Amino acid sequence: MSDDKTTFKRACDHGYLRCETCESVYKQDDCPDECDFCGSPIHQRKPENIARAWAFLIAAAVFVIPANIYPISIFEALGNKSPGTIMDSVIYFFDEGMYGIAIIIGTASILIPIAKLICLAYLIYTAQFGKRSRLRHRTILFRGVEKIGRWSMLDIFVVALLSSLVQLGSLAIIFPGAAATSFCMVVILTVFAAESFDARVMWDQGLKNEINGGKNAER
Amino acid sequence: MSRRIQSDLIICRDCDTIYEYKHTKVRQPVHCTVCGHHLYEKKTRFIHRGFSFALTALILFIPANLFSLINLDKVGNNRNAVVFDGVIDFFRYGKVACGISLFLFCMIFPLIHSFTQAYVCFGLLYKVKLPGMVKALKIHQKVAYWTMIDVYILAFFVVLIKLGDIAHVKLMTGIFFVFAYLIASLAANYACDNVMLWRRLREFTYDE
Repeated sequence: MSDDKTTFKRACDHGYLRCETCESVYKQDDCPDECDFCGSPIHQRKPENIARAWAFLIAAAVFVIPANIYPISIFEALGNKSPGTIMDSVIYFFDEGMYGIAIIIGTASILIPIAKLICLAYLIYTAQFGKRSRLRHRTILFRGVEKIGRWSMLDIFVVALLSSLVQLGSLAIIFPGAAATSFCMVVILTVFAAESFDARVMWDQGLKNEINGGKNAER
Repeated sequence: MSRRIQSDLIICRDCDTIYEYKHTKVRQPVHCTVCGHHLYEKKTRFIHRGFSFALTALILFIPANLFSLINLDKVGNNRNAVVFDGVIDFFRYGKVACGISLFLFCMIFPLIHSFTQAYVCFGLLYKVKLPGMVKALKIHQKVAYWTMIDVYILAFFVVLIKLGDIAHVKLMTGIFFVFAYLIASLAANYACDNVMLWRRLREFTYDE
């Protein structure tokens, strides 16, 4: 396809290894098992990255269902309980005409977790089966998924603040509902999934296919 | 000691391309030409700035957790809230996982994050070999993703708007300290490039 993609020097082809933590570079011939400087184990690639990423991702996907069905916070006023799911709070803000807040909450707690699951599934799938298209864009997508994940904790923090503030005896109480734990798990598990995935694997597979399918197959 | 480390090379995290480490001018970020990953950037007096901002953040973190953030006044009921109240409430209603994550992400990890940075930068700045500097920097890097004070501040504003029309909400001293902490820690993060910090620490440890 293009020349510049196959001419750049890759560490795995030239026999170099890199410490994940402290960025020390070793020659493969005299590479220690653990980094001389920081002591963390050195691998060519993260161990079992695709299997681990799938496992975390599937676990997160399972938790998405209770997180959206059960109420995340329960508002109790004068003995009447009115449970509210994540969707309810978005709708509430839309009805009140506060579109900015509605968009922020909707993005952080519904759109981002779902988009993250879909994007990660796409990334892991394409890496596993060695798709070679859009390697650079997929890397950028991976970086974005990594960065944005933590903002999903927003809803948990909102519930924490509300439940510690609105404690007016029998008059009005807000307390966290069943979805809070599942939602928390979704966020944490998707972050773990992104962390255990190794972006270099998709470059390995993609470039291998490109070289084998291209004209310089003898390399 | 370790001559096995090839300190003139640097490898991209995302696409495994090798680059030669070059001494660039300050504020000239080096990006990977293949995938665009930010490799390293030399910044002006980054140890100085990293240390001072991290220390500022560390000091600000104490009042941020002691003073109440917000006050809600409704028919004689007066409620103040600090960050830790949320943890207690989660535990009281049996949401242990949420309680632990709130406690870690908004109280423990930010503290560790600022402390380790101040510790490492202090050692590098005054050329003192403190015990466990490598370990401290390792923890600093691991914890960085999980410090969520910025998310907490956004949640705070959401709550402010949500309760604003129901009850009389008053901002208290604590929130200004939390905000100041956020700014100081962001400045500390911005001042120090992790790759440069590791290189400096390695040079400092191996050849004095």
